[in-house]
This record gives sequence, C-alpha cells and structure tokens, in this order.
Amino acid sequence: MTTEVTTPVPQYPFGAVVALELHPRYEELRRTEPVTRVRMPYGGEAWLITGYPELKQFLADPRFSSLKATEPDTARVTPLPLRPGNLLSMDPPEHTRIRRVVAGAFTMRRVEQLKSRIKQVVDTQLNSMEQHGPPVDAVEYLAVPVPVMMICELFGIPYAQRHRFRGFSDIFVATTAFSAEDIDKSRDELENYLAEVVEQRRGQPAEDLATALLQAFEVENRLTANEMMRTGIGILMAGHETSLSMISNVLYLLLSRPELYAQLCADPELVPTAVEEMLRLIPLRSVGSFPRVATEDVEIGGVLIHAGDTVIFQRAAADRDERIFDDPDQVDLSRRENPHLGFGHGAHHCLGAPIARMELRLVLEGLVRRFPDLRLAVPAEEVPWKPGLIARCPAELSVAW
Amino acid sequence: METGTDRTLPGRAVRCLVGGGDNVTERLWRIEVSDACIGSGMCLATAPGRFQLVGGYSEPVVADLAPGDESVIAAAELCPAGAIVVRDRDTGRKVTPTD
Repeated sequence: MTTEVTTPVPQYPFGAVVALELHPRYEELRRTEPVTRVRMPYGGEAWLITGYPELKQFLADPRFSSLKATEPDTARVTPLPLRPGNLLSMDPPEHTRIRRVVAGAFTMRRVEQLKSRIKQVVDTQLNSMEQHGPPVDAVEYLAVPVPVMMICELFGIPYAQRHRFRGFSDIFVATTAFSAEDIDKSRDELENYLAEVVEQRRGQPAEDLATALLQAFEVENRLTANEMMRTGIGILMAGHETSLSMISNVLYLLLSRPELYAQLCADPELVPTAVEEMLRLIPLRSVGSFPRVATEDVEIGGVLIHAGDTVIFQRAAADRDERIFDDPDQVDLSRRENPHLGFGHGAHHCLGAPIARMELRLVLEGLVRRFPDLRLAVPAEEVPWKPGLIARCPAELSVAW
Repeated sequence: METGTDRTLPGRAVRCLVGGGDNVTERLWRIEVSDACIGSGMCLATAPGRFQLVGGYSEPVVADLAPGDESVIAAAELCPAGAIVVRDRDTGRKVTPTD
C-alpha cells in the first residue's frame, strides 16, 4: 500500500539573519527548485525565486504588478504590505511618468558632475577620521555622511542648511529604536522641510532634483503636488538607507577578510570590479522582498504561476547561480564577467545605481590610498548588526589603523 | 492649476522635428545603443517591442522607425547608462537626449 507523502510548504523566512550570511536553504532551492512555494508570516503562500535566469525573466516581465502587491492581503514578510505612492510600488504608466521626471537628476552625466563633490565629502570625512585617531566608527564617519551629503547635493538642499536635514534624517538612520510616533513626526517635519526647499526653487531654478520636481508639477503638469512630495521623500529615504548599508557592509566584508583589503590596497585599479563583486555577493536585503503579483498566468522556469499569486525573490541567491557565475561563492575582486542583479533589472532597475557605484568607488579608493592598514578594531564576530527586516547593516563598525 | 486625469505626455521630441519645418512623415528615426549599455533591461520595459537583449545587452529590434513613438524617447531618458540615442536618420541630428 502506498501512501502519498506531501512535502509541507516550508515556512519563510528560513531562519535568523546572521551578518552577511545567506541561509543555506536558498542554495539548496536554487539547485533543485529555483521557483518554489513558501509560506509567509502574513497573507499565506507565495512563490520564491532563487535562480538567476528565472529571476531575470521575472523582473523583466510586465505581467507582474508591483502596485497589486500593496493590497492588504498580499503574502508578505512584514506586518504591513508595501506602501503605495513610491516608485517601487507603481506600475506603468504611472511609474514611467514619474520616473521620467526624476531620471534627469540621475543620469551618468549628472553623476559625473557630482563626482568632484562626492570626492570632497569623502576626503573631508577621511580627514576627520585621521584627526580623531583610531578607533572610529566607520558607520558614523563614512557610511552615514557620504550618502547624506550626496542626497543633499542631488536634491539641492542648500549647503548652509545641511545640518537641519541631517537632524531629520538621523532618526531614520539611528540604530536605536524610535517609536512609530517619533518616526512619523520626523517624516512630517522632513516633508515640510522639503516643501520649503522646493518652494525656494520657484524663480530660482537650479540643476537639482528639487527644481526638476517643481518644474514637473508647476510648469509641465506632469505630477500632482502629492506625487511631487511623495516622490521626493521616497527618493531621499531609499537612496539614503541603501547606500549607507552598502558602504558599511562592503567595509565589513573587506575588513573581516583582511587579505581582500590588502589585495585592494596593493592594486587600487581593482576598485571598480571589486565594487561590482560586492554588489553581487552582499545580501543587502535581510529577506526576499519586493513582492509582485501575477496579473495573468505566467510560466517561469517550468513552473506555472497563477494570476493573483504573489512572488518574492532572493536576489543574492540568484547572483551565486553556478549556471551563470564561475566559482560563484568565491570573492573575486577582479571578476570580469559579472552580470549581477544587485541593482535589479527591468523597469525598477535602481534609480540611484550610478550614484551608489560612485560613492562606493570613491570611499574605497580614498580608504586604500590613505588607510592601507585599516582593520577592524573588534573581532568580526563581535560587530553588532542592526535588527529588523529591511536592509542588513552593522549597527557600528569600529575600525583602527 | 490643471491637474486633470489626462496624463498624455508632451511630445517634446515630435515638436523638435515639426519645429524645424521638416516634413515629419518623410523622416525616420534611427535608434542607437552604445557600448555604455549595462543590460539593465529598462528600455525593454519602457518601450516594449523596440529593444531586445542579445547576450545580455540591448539592441534595437529595428534600427530605423517612423518618428513619434514616445516610448522610445522615454527609454532613452530612462536608460541608467545613457546608452540610447535617437537621431534623425538623414541629418544625424539628435532627438534625444533632450538636455
């Protein structure tokens, strides 16, 4: 007599998030079932994608809706679903319309213009480090100020008022918990402050995001006032936290494996490919996220996803797919063929990618040049990590030289 | 302030051609994708049917097309690498990027 054995759908997430480690279950799944069912903490079951070709196909496929994933019953990891109103939770044509307004502030040309400013900020911070003397918290000295200053530059926040902006943004980057009320209050104050900045552009246009937003709203009628503010804040917050986390994570990884940092110091020409390798390997997000909902039946990797199904993915697992990358688990700072998906793919490809790349390169170039004997001031296992389900990031990264 | 629901995008690129007094219907646009392409797939998502990924990098499906497809202009604007240029096929004058 045969009994049918049904494998229960596994609970997701698979386990605790530890530093920058990827849970081994992802790799098992990628090898055997790159499109698989999981049970989410809220909202029921979803599909989890862990394979590279499958993920790339999914990300490019317009039949998956980001907007639908804001609905209250979406299968998800967080208590609340994705918030509507920002680029990541929009579909074409709204998404295209809004992204076009802000894209001008993020072109390669504009980023090149910003390069000397970023370099100045990095140099100032490195000077501060030197002046203070070891040990310093690299999160405090580099990972926070570089992106914050860059966002100010991009947005057009006047230099004299940056401390004010930092006052608001500190709440969002603080490693100690703030109450929901504090965060909401801070967000409101930030929104008011940004409205002021945008207002200042009336009659005084500049080549910055505040001007682009105001222009799109007032002159070109391409945005509503609400969209203008929500988009501004969305970009500000998104750009901020991700860059901050990545800078911290990159430093953690390179310093916890000193031979890697030494390699970079010996050959600073490797910095650009090293940055790409970091983007490939570092699982920035704590868990698979950015859910989308199928609007029709779609087949991916031989699996039929039904209309209405939620799909999430673990990008870091896909970026270690041996079908695409040689020695995928090796940190190869000189890796040439590196079509990683660290910035995503398709319509939602990271808007800030050129800036993030620039920041990471300039931070590393500055460090290897001026602090070739940089090292962790505490054992790697003792580096504290921020709790939470969004981006992985050390709460503090004490370094010495 | 008019904030109606009609979200028709201004056809800025078409205005460029028409403003020159040219006979728009005889012109063709040429789409070029440079080596700067990073394979983000943004253009495929923005202008379906106009671009394809070959070996992971973008190429126009058809290099020459009749002017006026706003989605191609959008793709050029949205390309994260600034790799897409649309020109008047005969004069070589750039239609995008518009800055």
